[in-house]
Amino acid sequence: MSVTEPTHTIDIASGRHGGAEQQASIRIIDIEQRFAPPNQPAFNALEAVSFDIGPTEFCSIVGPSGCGKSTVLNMVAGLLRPTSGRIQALGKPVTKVNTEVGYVTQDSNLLPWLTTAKNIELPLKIRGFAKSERERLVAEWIGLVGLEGFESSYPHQLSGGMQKRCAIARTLVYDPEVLLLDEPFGALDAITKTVLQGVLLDLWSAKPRSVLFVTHDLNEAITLSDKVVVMTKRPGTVKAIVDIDLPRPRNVYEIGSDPRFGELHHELWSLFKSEI
Amino acid sequence: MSVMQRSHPRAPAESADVEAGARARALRVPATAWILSGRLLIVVVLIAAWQLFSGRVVPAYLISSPTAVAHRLVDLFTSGDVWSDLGITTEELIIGYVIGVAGGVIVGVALGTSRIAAALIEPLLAALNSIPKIALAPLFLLWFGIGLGSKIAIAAMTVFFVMFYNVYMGMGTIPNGLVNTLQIMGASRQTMVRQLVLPQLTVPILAGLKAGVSFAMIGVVVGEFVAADSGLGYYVRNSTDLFDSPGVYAGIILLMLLVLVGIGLVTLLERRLLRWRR
Repeated sequence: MSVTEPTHTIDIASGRHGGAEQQASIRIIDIEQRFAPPNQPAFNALEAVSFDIGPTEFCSIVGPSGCGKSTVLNMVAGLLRPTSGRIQALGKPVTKVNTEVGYVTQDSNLLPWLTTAKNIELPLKIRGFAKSERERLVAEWIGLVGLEGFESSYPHQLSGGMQKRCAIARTLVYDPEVLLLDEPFGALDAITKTVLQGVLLDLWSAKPRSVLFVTHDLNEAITLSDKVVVMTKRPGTVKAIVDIDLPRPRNVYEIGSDPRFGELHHELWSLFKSEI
Repeated sequence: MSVMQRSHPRAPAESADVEAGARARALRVPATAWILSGRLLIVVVLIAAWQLFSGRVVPAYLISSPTAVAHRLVDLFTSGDVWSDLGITTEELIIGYVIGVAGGVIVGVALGTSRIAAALIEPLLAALNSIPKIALAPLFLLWFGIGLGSKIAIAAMTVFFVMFYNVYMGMGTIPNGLVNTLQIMGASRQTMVRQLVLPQLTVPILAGLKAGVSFAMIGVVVGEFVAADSGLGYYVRNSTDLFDSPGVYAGIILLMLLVLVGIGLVTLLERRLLRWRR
């Protein structure tokens, strides 16, 4: 059974999903988010959202725009406190900015005055790595994301795809146990997007960790994930959690022609379309 | 051309960008030989007209003349009389400028990072800033004396407000995404200021530094006009009292050169700090 019924009371402990059977590394427990913008009526962005992510699980959240996908990510990152409910990351409640996560956002958020190498080095500097260690890691990650030759380029001299590679390297270079990605490839052309999905999957396979990946692209969610959380339109809540039982390692260029891929896409789409 | 030589092509796309950028800059500031000689010509014509009108159309005691001013400048430097005035004004300018710049940056960043502090203090600063600084000059002379102190204080206050508003407004332009990114990396408050706030504010700070030079000079000269016994402003004021128009103009030219040197130094700094944009 790969689809759970829409529910407001997911039983976290029941271990229905692969990742939750082990000790979950992220637990999102019944969170609600209420926003009260000035001069506008208050509204609930999220309601009764609960799900878990296992220590090596790749989990995507899909949902219509404005359903609060990014809000969930910001909460796991500790940038935002839920109005009610709890979030646990690596066994601890998230009550302040969570420096144990890596966060790749839709805008690459590179520092424009730093070169590629300096941008990747920055988190290591902040975290007090020794200079020799920093140099070794920066060189290693420039290679891993394929940015050789662009070490001393500034962000504005890089293409959108290269900026993304740099942002991914900068995030993974300090080896966070949890990786959050908020529509990282949303603004890229289809080919660059597929290439970078491949890069991301390779990096994750080399060192699996918890990934929470927000997207509105169902193909992308299926290609990458172990499970996909489908959210309803605002107020966002979990409509269903679909396990993606495609074998790994996956080839991002060919996975679309797998018949199971089509079935999963159909299943997700039928859940998704009533929310548009 | 020099722009092209500085960049070393890496990727085709990038060098195309650099070329496009160079073209755009060339369109903005056409510093060709033609333009430069045109500018020089205008200056020469104006000086010639000054020389021609002086004494013939307008009495020389009102506008002096280029030759008289040139003579006076040569005299001032050969006799060495100018050095003490020049030195004092420069000292007041530099100290007042540095204090004003530092204060403006510190208070601007502080109020820009704390909403409570901003709500408490910013309206008070706005009220203070609405006082014409010149009106405070006599008061500052009472408080800080007739010497350097009062001029430094007036200059510092004038520069402070320019710098403060540039920095404070600039704080609003810091993208939230970058703040969040650095926070998740684990950046402390100091790291945030050093790695994000100050680089992000480079442009408004440079604008403040540039405008600040002439504002500081206004502060210094006002102080020297009101009460002083030395300095270039005092020299101009004293020359005016004596109907010594070559002295007035020579003093003004020295004040102008001092400001131009200051702005030139800031421009050098600007080129260095904004290298990443090219």
